[in-house]
Amino acid sequence: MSTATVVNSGSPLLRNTIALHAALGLMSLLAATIFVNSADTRILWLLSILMALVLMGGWALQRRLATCIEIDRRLTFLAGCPQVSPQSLKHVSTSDRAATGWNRLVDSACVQRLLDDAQHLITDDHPNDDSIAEHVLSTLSDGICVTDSTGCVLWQNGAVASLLNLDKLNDIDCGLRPFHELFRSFSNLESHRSFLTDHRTVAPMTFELKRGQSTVDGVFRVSRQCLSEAELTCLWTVRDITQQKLSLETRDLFVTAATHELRTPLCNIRAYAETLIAGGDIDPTDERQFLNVILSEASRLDRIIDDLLSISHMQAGSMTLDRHETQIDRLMREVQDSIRPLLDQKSLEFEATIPPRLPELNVDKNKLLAALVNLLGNAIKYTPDGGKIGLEAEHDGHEVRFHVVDTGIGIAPEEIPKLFQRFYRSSDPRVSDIQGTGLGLAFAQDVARLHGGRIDVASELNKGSRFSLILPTALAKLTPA
Amino acid sequence: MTRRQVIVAEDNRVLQDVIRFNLVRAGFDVRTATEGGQVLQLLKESPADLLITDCQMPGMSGLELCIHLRSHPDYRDLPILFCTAKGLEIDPLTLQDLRLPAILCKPFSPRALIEKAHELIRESVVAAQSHSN
Repeated sequence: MSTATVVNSGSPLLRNTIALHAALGLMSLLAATIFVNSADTRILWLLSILMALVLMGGWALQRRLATCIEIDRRLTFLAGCPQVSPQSLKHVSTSDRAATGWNRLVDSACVQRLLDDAQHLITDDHPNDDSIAEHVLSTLSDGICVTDSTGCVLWQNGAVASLLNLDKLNDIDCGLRPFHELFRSFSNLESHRSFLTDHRTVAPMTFELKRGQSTVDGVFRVSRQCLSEAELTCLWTVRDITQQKLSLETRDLFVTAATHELRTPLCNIRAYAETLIAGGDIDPTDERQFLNVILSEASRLDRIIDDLLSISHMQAGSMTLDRHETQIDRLMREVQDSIRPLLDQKSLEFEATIPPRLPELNVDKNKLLAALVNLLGNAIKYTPDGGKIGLEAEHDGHEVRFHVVDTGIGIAPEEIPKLFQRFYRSSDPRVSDIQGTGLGLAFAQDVARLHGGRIDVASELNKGSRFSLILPTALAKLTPA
Repeated sequence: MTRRQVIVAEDNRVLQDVIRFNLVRAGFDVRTATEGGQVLQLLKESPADLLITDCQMPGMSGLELCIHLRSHPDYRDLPILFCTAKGLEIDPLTLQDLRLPAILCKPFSPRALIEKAHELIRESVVAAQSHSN
């Protein structure tokens, strides 16, 4: 029958439907066979109509059951699958209410699967909130600690161990340890111990702990914030502020040194000017000398301001040269005039050796002069009374060399490579007793380099030093013989 | 009348010269030093009525010099005019402990320096007289 040709599956519902259709068909055929021979034509018609009705009923029943049959077929298929997945669910092609319901069920399962997949992808790429927070805390450069009501560390991030140089085995993994124990080797722990061990105060607090006596050993800002007033748990942050502190110290030293440098000539100018104004019996020779002092101290102030401006440009990396053809012998005489006030403050022997036929150089005269004055200023500062200072110049086919020689305190070999670092000041107490910015040599070296030259240093502790500012003669225009 | 003996300790020779000039003109006998050790040497050679010292000096600083002098029986009452730079003032309690009532901040006027010098010597004489009475 037609139904049997449409359905080729062996499901029970299908089998029952086929059996029903077959039974009705056989009954109609049997009745027709019985009555064809014995009855009249009216009966034949009735039987034909009955058969037609049975066939129409069968067709209607098959239409009605088609969706159920198809769903039944899919369910039977799923029963045979080892694992059910949304991909194995298929829509049915019919369009009655049962089909609509089935199709919605399939859609819903597919959407849920898509949502699950998306969630899975999101979870793989971005951990949940807790692991994100943990990841962030572990990558922070600041140390983070949580302590309980007894001040013992409940949790800490990795930065704590690295900042405080803790030995992982001995210092961290030995169970709960008091927070202040993390700082047990610190130099000023005792003065802050009461804050570190006060577990009852909930007010936030901040203080600084130093690892050693010197700032360079390490300075840490430790802050406490109460997390739970009821449980007295606290959040501690540990920040390394060593560089910040060093920078502030350097700035303070520079300001102190710069104000001292400015104050000294200012003080001299005021004292001499007031002495002259007070009048009285001042010898004309003294009067003239006093005026000269005022003039030279004013020049010194001018030079200091130039130096400060040069330092400012040097700091900004914007120092440029204003080159002109310059007679070196004249430059050297100007250098001597500039350092005269410094020399007059001490009892030093000074000798300048200026050979004949020095070439003209295409240089920034003011900056070269300032660089040489810096070198000579250092020689004067670091040579005790009774010592000797020399300024020499020499040249050959390749270079012009300016030597500043002294019989001063000298420089330790290990300090020579650091001399030209900005703000570097020797740890020798004979140097730290004397005011200085730590910028003079850095400036002089920058000037030499900008001219394509260099500064060489030779020194022996307690014997003296020799600084040589060397410029290439490519800058030179040799004077005629 | 005997000229008062003053020792000036100042490492800035330009300033030292003008201080000396003004003190000599004001009637003082002046000896100079550039650091604390030299002052002790000068005091050993002959006593002084007044010491004018800068605070910052290479070698023995002005403050170290004052501490040393105040602990020495011969110089504990020596009048000292202490000079320091503006911004580098010494803690008032330290000054009180060292009995340094007169402080002059740089840059100072030579007239103020002379006035202070006279004032300190006058007070020292009065104190010595009341002590002997």
